[in-house]
Amino acid sequence: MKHHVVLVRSFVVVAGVLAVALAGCVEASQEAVAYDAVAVSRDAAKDTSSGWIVTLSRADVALGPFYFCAAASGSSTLCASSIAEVAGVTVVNALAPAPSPLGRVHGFSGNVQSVSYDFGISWFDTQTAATPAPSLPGGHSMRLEGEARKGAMLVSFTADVDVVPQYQGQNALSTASAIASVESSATRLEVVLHPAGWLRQVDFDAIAATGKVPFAIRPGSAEHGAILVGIKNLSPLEFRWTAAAAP
Amino acid sequence: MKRAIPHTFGLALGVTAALLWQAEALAQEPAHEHARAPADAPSNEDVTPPSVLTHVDAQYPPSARQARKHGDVVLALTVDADGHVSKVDVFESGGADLDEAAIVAARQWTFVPAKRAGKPLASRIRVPFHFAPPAPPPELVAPPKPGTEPVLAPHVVTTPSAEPAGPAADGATPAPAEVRVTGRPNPPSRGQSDFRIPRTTLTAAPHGSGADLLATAPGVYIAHPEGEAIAQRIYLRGFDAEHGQDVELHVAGIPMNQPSHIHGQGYADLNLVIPETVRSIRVIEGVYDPRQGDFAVAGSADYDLGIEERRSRVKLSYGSFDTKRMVAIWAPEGQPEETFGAANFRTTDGFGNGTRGGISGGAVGQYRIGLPYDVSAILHVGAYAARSNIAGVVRRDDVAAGRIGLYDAYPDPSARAQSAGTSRTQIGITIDRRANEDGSRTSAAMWFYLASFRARTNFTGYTQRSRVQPLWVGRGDLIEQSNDDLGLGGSLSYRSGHLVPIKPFAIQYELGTDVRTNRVQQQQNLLQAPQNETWDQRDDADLRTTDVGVFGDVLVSGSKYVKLRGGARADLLFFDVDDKLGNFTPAFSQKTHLPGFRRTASGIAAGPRATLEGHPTSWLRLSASYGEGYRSPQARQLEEGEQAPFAKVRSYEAGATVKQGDDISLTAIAYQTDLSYDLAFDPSEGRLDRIGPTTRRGLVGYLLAAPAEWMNVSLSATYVHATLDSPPTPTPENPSPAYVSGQSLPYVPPLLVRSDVALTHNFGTVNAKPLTWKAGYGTTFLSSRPLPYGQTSPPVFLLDATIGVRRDWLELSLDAFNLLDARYADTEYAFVSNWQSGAVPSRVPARHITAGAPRALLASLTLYL
Repeated sequence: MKHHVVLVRSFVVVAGVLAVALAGCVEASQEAVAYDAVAVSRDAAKDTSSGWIVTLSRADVALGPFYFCAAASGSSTLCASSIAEVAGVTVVNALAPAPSPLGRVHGFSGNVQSVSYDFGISWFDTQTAATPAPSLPGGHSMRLEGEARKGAMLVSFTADVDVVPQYQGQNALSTASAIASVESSATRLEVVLHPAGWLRQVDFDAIAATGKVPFAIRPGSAEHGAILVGIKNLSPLEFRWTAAAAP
Repeated sequence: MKRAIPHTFGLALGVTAALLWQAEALAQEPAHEHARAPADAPSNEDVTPPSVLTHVDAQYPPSARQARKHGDVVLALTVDADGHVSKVDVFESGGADLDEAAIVAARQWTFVPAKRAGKPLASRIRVPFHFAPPAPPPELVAPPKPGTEPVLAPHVVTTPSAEPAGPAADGATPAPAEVRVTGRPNPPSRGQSDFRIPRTTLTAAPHGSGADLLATAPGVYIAHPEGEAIAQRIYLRGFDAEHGQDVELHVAGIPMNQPSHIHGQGYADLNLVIPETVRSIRVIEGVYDPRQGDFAVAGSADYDLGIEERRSRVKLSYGSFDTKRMVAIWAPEGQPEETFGAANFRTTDGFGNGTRGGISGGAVGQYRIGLPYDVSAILHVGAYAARSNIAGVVRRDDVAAGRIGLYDAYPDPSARAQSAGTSRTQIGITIDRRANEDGSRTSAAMWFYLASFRARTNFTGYTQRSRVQPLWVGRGDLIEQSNDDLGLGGSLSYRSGHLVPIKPFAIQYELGTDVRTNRVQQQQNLLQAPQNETWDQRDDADLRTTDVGVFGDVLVSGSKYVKLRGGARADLLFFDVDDKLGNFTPAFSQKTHLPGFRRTASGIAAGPRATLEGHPTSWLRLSASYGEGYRSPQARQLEEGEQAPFAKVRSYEAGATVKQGDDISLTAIAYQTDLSYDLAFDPSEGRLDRIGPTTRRGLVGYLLAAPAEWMNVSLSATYVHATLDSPPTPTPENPSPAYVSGQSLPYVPPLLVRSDVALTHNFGTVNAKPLTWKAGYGTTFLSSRPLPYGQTSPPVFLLDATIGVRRDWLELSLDAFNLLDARYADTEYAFVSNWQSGAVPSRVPARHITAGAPRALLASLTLYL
C-alpha cells in the first residue's frame, strides 16, 4: 500500500511539473491588433496644377472598405487574405480641417505593402452588380461642389462621382501602395485625401465654353471620367501609420 | 449445497493451474528468456488462469440411480471477465441425464476470472465430472487427455445427499489445466511510448466510434468535425494528424491509411471499426519499430479485434437526437476470440438545427482456422458505408454576436448542401506458422480494400473565383472531393530462432517485407448549391502508387538486465500521375496546348530505429529509443522525375516504468520529435498544404492502477511544446510571413490529460444468477490551444460516463457523452470567409469552429444469446 501512495504522489509531482512547464511557453508570431483610422485632408480645397485654380466648397466623400495586404499587390484575386481591414463605409467631409473618424482597423501585426479599397460602391463576390452603401450621399461615392477660376473665367460646378469596381469581386481601386510595419495596437492610420487634386484632368475650358452655371458633372460624362483618373492615378489616397497611445 | 471453496484450496488450485498453464506456455517456447515474449505470437505471458470462487455440486440424477449408472461428463465452460459462467458446452457426454446434471451445477459456479496484466479477461476451461451411485464409494477418474481447453480437477459426484467430493477432499491431483488465450499479438516493447491499451480501459467510458477508442491512449485527442462519413481528426503528442496523415493505422493487420487521398495524405477512416469488437489497441507514439511505414510520423496504432466473451448478442440503443443503433455480434462458443462476426447500423438526426443527420452501418467478421504444421490463419472481412450531412464551420464572431447558434449551420444554400458519403470494403488473410522450439516463426499476410469517398464541404462561404471562367465568382465555395481507391498489398516476415553466438549474448533477428500498391481516381470541383452545378474544376487525376518496404529487426540480449532491439527500414515508393488538369490554360490566355500533365516519380526513404531497455530491478524498467521515419508525399504535388521528397521524422525518448505487480504502474517519458517539414490544413482548398520544419518536445506521465478487484484506473498527462523552426512558407498573400523563433504550432493542445476509470462489481444474485453492475467514466482535459495570430482557444474539459447492470443474458446500460454539457469547439481554425453575415465582407482571417457535441444520452439493451 505504501508503494501505491508513493506512486500516486509521484504522479502528482509529474503532473505538477507538466503544469509548470506549460506556463508561459506559447510563442506567437503575430497578434491581433485594432486601432483607429481617420481621414485627413491635405490642401483639400485648392489645386492649381491644371492651370485653373480649383476651390471646393463641398466634398462629401464615401470611403471604404479598405483591405490591406502583406503582398505588393492588394488585388482581391492575388490577395484573398488581408492582414488588416476597415470593414465599413464612412462618409466624411473632406474639407474638414480636423481628422474625421473612419472607424477601426482590425487585423494583425506585421508588414503591410498594399491596399485595395472602395469609395462606398462595392461589387462583392456575392453581388450581381456594383452596389452603393446605404449611407452614400445621393447614392454616389462623392459629392463635390466648387468653382474653378482662371484669370477672368469662373466656372462653378457640382459633381456626383461614382467610383465603381470594374469586375465582380474586385475593389474600385484594386491595388495601391501602402507601406507599414504594424507591431501593436498603439497605432493610428491616417488616410490622406487631396480632393481638389482629383479635378486636375477636368477640362474646365470646355466646361466654361458650355456656359452652364453651375455645371453638373454626372457619371458617364467625360468630366466624370477625368475625375476618376484623378482619384485613381493623379491624386490617390495616401496611407500613413503613426504611433498612437495604447488603447 | 452451495459453498465457497476454501481459500487455501482455491489458492492451491489457482497456483497449480497457473503452473500447469505456465508449463504449457513454456513448452511452446524455448526456455530462453526472450522466447517467452515472442514477437507477434499468441501469448499466455502474464495471464493467470481463472480459479474457482464458489461452486455447486452436481446432483446425481434420480433417473440414473436405479441403473447405478457411472458416467463421466466433461464440460467446456466459458468464464467471462466478470467470473461468471457465460457458456457451457458438453465436451464429452455421459448421457443426457448426467450431462444435464453437470450443466445445471456448472452454470452456478463462479470464478476469479483469468487475468492478463491484472486485467480480467474471458477464458475457457474444461471441467470433468464423474458420476457414481452411492455405493460403492466415489471413484476418481483419470485426468482427461490434454486438450485445447483448460481442465479443472475432476469433480466427483455421488448421490444428491452425498457430501460433495471436491478434488482437494479426495486428494486427487488436479488435472492439467490450460487457459487458452488465443491469438493476441504481443510484440516486443519498443520503449516506454509503446502503449498497450487493454479492453478494460477501452470499455471504461463510453465511446461512440472505433476511432474514439484511441483517445484512451496518452496524448491522443479525437475530434469529429465533419460527421461520421468523414474520418476522425487525430491529435497525437503535438501533432495535428488531421485524418490520419501522421498516424499509421492498422485494423486487424490491414492498413487503413490511404496514400494521396484527395482529402489529405494518409486519410484513414476508423469508422469501420465496431467498438465492441476491439480487444486491445497498441499505440506507439514515435517511430521506433522497423515495421512502421510511411504514415508513422507521430506514431502508429494497431487495432486488435476479438470477442472475449463467447456469447452472441444483440444490442439495441436509443438516445438523444433520435439516435438509434443496433449491434449484433456472433461469437460462437468454442471458437477462438478472433473468430466472430459483428454488424452495426446507426441513424441519427444529429445535434443542432438539423444539419448533422447521418446513416451508417458496417460489418466485420473474422475466422481463425487451425491448419497442420502449427499453421493458423485468420480471415478478415470488413465493410462500412455512411452518409451524413455536415454542418460545417461557424465564425466565432458570428456566434458571439448572436447571429448564429454554436450548434447551428449557416442558413445558406451552400452551407446546407454540405454532406459526405463513404464506403470501404476490405478483405485480408493472415497466416502464421507458430514459433518452433527454437523461437523461429514465419508469417504472411495479404489484403485488399476498395474505398470510395465523396464529400461536399464549404469552409469559406463565398470567396472563390473560377479558374476555368475567371469572371465566375461568388457562387459558393462548396468543394466537392471524390476519391476512389483500390489498395492491394501484403507482407512476409521470418523471425529466426534464438542464436547464441557468444555467451552470454543471444540474438534473434527478423527480416520482413511489406508491399502496397494503389490505384486512385480523384477529383475536386466547386459546386453551386442548391443544384450542385459544377462551376469550377480544380483537380482530376489518376494515380498509381507502389510502396515496397523492407525491414530488419534484431534483438540482442546480453543478460536478463539489458536488451537492445533495433533495426532499419527502407521503402521504395513509386508514383505515376495522370493529372488531367495539369498545364491548365487560363481562360484569358490563348490556348497553345491541351490540358494534362502526366509524370512519374520515385524515391527511397530509409532510417534506423532502436530501443535500449534495462531492467535493473524487477519493478523498474528503463529505456531509451531513437528512430527515423518519413512521410510519403502527396503524388499530385510531384514533378516529373522528382526524387520523391519525403518528410523526415526523428523521434527520441527516454523513460522509466515503475511497476508493482499487476496493481499499479507509473511511466514517465521525456520525448522529442523533429520533422523536416510539416503540413497544415488549407480551408480554401479543403486539404493539406506544406509548412516548414517543426519540433515537439514534451513529457508524459502515465498511471495504470487496479487499487481494488473491482476498479481499474488509467490516467495520463501529456505535455508538448510544439514549435515551428523556420518561417512559414511564403504565399502570394504573404510573401514574408511573420515569424519568431520558437513560434508555437497552432491548434495542438500543449497539455492533454486523460483518465479512464472502470468499476465492476457483483451485488448479489437474482434467481441464482449474479447481478453485476458496471460503471465507468472518461475525462479529457485540453489546455488552451494556441491559434494563429496570437490567439488561444479556451480550455476544454469533457466527461463521458456509463452505468449498467447485467444479469446473465440481460444487460441494461446508459451512456452519457459530454455529461457536463460543455459548450466547446471540437476543432478551431483561422482563415478568411464570407458567410454574408455582415454588410461588408471581411478578408481578415477569422476564427472558425466546429462545435463539439452537446450532452447526449444513449440507453442500451443487450440480450446475450
